[in-house]
Amino acid sequence: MPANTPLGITYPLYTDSIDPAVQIAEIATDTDGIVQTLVNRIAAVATRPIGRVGAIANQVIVTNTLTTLLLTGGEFSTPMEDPANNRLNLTESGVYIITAAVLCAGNAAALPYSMLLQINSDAGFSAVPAAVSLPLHNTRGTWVNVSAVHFHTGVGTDHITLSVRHNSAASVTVMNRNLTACKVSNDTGLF
Amino acid sequence: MPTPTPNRGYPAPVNSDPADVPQALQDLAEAIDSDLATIEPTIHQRPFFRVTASAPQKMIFSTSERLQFTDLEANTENAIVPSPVMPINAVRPSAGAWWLTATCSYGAPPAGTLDEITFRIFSSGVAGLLSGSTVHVTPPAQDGTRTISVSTLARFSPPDDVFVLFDFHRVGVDPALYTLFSRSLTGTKVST
Repeated sequence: MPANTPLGITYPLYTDSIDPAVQIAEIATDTDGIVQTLVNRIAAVATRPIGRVGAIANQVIVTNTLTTLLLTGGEFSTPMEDPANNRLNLTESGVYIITAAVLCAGNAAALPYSMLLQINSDAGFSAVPAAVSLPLHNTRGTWVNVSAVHFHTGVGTDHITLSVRHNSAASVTVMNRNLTACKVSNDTGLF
Repeated sequence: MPTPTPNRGYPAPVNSDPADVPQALQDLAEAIDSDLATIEPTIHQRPFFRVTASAPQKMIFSTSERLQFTDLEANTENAIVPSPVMPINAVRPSAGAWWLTATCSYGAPPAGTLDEITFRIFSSGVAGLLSGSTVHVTPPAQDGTRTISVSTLARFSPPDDVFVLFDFHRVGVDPALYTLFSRSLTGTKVST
């Protein structure tokens, strides 16, 4: 009875009947499958899922209200981008880098007040993988940005959105904003 | 006539082939060797670049100025092509998606105070403004320097350049010249 190498290449034993064509063909076919798997993995590493959604149209954020940011444009035209729903959709299991930024206009309310920017996940380990808050300004704009390393099990789709909240007495207008993500590793295995 | 395997096309002999085992094994070995030789170059480090500068850079009041870099610390796997001749104020990454981080150290202005320091990273391509970071507190002289940074993911298609703009806005006395200290722009390719 033939034996197999640890990776599954079939080879004859001394006690097996001699059938060179079949036995060599088995080695060829088994090696073919192993090499193709490696080639597929190499290609997957080089072409990780990525997406970027954003918007530049003003969005008015009222006081003390956690508000989902509108991200109506897909910039890379990839399957991860879901600008119709203001989000990125993570479908593959693995580890992702996520980054977000928003430009907040100044307003004349009495200082101090701050803007909270948080990344939201509905299928990750945490509903808020990362958040940051920074003081805003009366007259000058403020960029607020945050990044996260995020894990998705691959069970279901992980919808990634952005929310903001501020405590200014007046509404705050947000301008340029974006949300980007890229898978950087699988959750198991060596690639 | 051997039958090619379904994926890689290795010669798999059939019973009707001449009974020449050494030749069949040699053909298979050479086919695998040749295939692996074509696969091997596709396995490599992720392209990575890092440009830096430590000599002070003078900024003029109320202008958006690009950070200048004088040292090419890393440029692996042809991350930026052609390799730049220093000094530079922009980097041209190879095609693909990149994780980028820019940093800059700054100190107190020579006079007056600043009410805004904004640090932005740009693509010269259609994406334009990629991300930014802002502080509204002027560092006091006794604080030495502070550092501002910004990171983002972006996709580039040559001849897109990536560059970093530093802006400051004053209150009261005009600090006509402002000095930046150590600064860096780092990128690694994360996807196509």
